[in-house]
Amino acid sequence: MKEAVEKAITDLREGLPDREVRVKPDSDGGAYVIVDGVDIGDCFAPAVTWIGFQITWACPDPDVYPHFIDPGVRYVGQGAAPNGHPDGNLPTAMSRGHVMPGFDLPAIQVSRRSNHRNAETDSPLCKLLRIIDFLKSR
Amino acid sequence: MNEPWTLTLDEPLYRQLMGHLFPGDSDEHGAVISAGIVSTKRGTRLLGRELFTAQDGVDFVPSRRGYRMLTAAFVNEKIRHCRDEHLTYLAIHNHGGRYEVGFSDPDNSSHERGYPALLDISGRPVGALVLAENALAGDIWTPDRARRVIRETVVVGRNIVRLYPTPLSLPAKADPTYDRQVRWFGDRGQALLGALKVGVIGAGGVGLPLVTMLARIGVGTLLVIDPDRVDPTNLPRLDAWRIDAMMPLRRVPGLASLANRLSTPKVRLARRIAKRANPKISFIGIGENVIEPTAAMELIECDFLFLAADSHQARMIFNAITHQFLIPGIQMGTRIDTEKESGAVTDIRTNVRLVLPRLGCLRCNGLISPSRLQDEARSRADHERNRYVDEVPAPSVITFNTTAAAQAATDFMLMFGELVDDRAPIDYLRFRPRDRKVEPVVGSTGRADCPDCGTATRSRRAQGDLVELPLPER
Repeated sequence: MKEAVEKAITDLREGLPDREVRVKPDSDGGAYVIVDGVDIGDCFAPAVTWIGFQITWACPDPDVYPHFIDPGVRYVGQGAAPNGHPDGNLPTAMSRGHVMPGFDLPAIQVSRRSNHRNAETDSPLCKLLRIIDFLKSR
Repeated sequence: MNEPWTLTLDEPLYRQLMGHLFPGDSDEHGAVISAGIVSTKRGTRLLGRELFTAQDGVDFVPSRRGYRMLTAAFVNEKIRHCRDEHLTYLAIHNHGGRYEVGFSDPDNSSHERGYPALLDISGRPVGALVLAENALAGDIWTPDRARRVIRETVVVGRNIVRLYPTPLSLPAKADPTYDRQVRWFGDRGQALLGALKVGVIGAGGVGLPLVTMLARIGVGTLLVIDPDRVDPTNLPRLDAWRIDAMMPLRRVPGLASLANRLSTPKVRLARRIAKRANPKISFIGIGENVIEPTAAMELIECDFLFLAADSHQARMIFNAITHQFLIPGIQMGTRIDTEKESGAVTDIRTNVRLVLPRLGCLRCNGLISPSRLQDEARSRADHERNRYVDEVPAPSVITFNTTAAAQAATDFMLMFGELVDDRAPIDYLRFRPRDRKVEPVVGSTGRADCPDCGTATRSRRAQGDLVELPLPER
C-alpha cells in the first residue's frame, strides 16, 4: 500500500476507535476498506451497518466515493424516497443492486461526490463522517 | 551523476534574482539559491527552488581577500537549511558585463577554501553561480570531491531563455530543406529544435496533428504515450487507413473484439506519421497509460511536454512533472456542450493552456477533478459494475482539434525561439468558434499551499528526485 493510503487508514482507526476497520489492499497501492458497526440513524432498519469504500492509490487527491452499506438495510423514515425498489425504497443518492469491491459483498451504493473538496484537509475519515451525517439526516 | 550539468530556473525566481543583483547601481550583490536535482541519461539538472537574497552590508559584506563575500552566519544558516531539506546550496554573486562571465581568481580561491567544509555539512552537491547580463557560469562541487561546470542555464517562462558562460559558437548551417523557416528563426533556432526531446501525452485527435507539426518543424526526438488502438470512430479525425481500425475484420460477425485487439496502436500510427514528416526524427512510442511508471519516468527527460489526453490522471501526472522537474508544458482540449434533452450544441470552447512552473498550475485552476480521479483509479470492472449512469463519449471534431494543436505548436516554437513578446498575456487562450473569437483567459495564480506549485515546504515544486511522483504501485 502507498504511504498516504496507510496514513488514511491509520486516521480511520484512530478516528473511530470503537469500530472494527477491515482492509484489503488493491492491486495499485490503494485499499478496500470496511468499517463495521456504524450507526446510520433511526430512518434505517437495521440502524447499524457496515460501510465500505475504496481509497485509491492517488490518495489524498481523489474524492473517496461511492460508499457501500449492507444490502439488507431498509428505509423507514418519512422523507422523500424517490429510488423505488421492491426490496424497499431508498432516498436519493442511494441505490440497490451494487457490489462492494474488493470484498465482493452485495451492497447498497451511497453515491455522494464532493467536487470542491480540498485534498489537504478532507481525508477519507472526514468523508466517511459526512456520509454518516448524510444518512442520519434523511 | 551524469554529465552535462545544467541549471533550470523558473521565470519568477529568475526575475527576482536579476532585480536583486542588478538594481542599477553597477555594484556587486549576493544571494543563495536552494535547488532540487534530477539525474537522467541526458545529464544532471539542478532545479532552482528557493531564492534567499543577501542584504547588502549585513549578509553581503566587504572581503579581505576579494571584493565582497557572504557572511559566515548567512552561509551557515542557508547550508543547514539545504542540508535539512536535502537541497543543493548555490551561492550567487554578480559581475559586470554582458553575454560573458566567469569566476575570478579570488572567487575560485574562496571556493577551494570553503566548499570542502560545506560538502561535509550538507552531504549533497554545493556550488557557486556568477551572473552577468545574459550570462551565467557555475562551479559545482559533488560529494566525490569532483568539480563540475554548469554548461547551460534554462529559464522557464513565457520564453525559454538559455544562458551560457560564453557566447556559443555559430551553429552549422541548417538542412536546406528547412530554408523557409530558418529564414525566420535562424540556423541556431533550427539546431535547438533538433536537440530537443519533446513529450506528447495522447495520440488522438489533438495529439496526432501535433506530432505531424512537431516532426515537420524539425524537433529532434519525440516521445509519444498513448495506451489506445485505432477505433473506427477515430478515423474521421486521424491520419489513418481503414485497415488500421481493422475494418474488413469488423464486417465478419463475432470478430469485433478480435478486430479491437489487432487494430493499430496509436503510438505506432504516431511513429508512421512522424517518420513520414521527418525521416531523421528519433521517435519513442510507449503504448501505455501515462500513469505507468515506465511511461511517466520517460517524460522527466523531456525539454517540453504536451498534454493531449483528457483523463484527469494524465492531468495530475503532467502537472506534477511540470512543477517537480520544472519542465514547461501546454495542455489542450476542446469542450462541446450540448443540451441534455435535444442534443443541441450550446457552447464550443477550445483551450490552449501554458502550464509553467508557478504559472498556470492545473491543480490551482481546479482542472484536476477529485471525483474523476477516483473514477479513473477504481478498476474498470468495479466502475462498470457500480455505474448507474451511462457514459456517453464526448463530441470531437477534427477542426477544433487542429486549432488547438496548431496554437500549441506555435506557442512552443515561439517560446524556444525567445520570440514571445514580454508583455504577452501568459494566461490561456480560449477559442470560441461559434463567436469567431479568441480570448485570453486569466487563470488563478498559484496557491502558496498547493502541493504541486506552492512555496510551502511540502510542495513538489523543483524537488526533482527528492520526492516520488504520484503513480500507482507496480
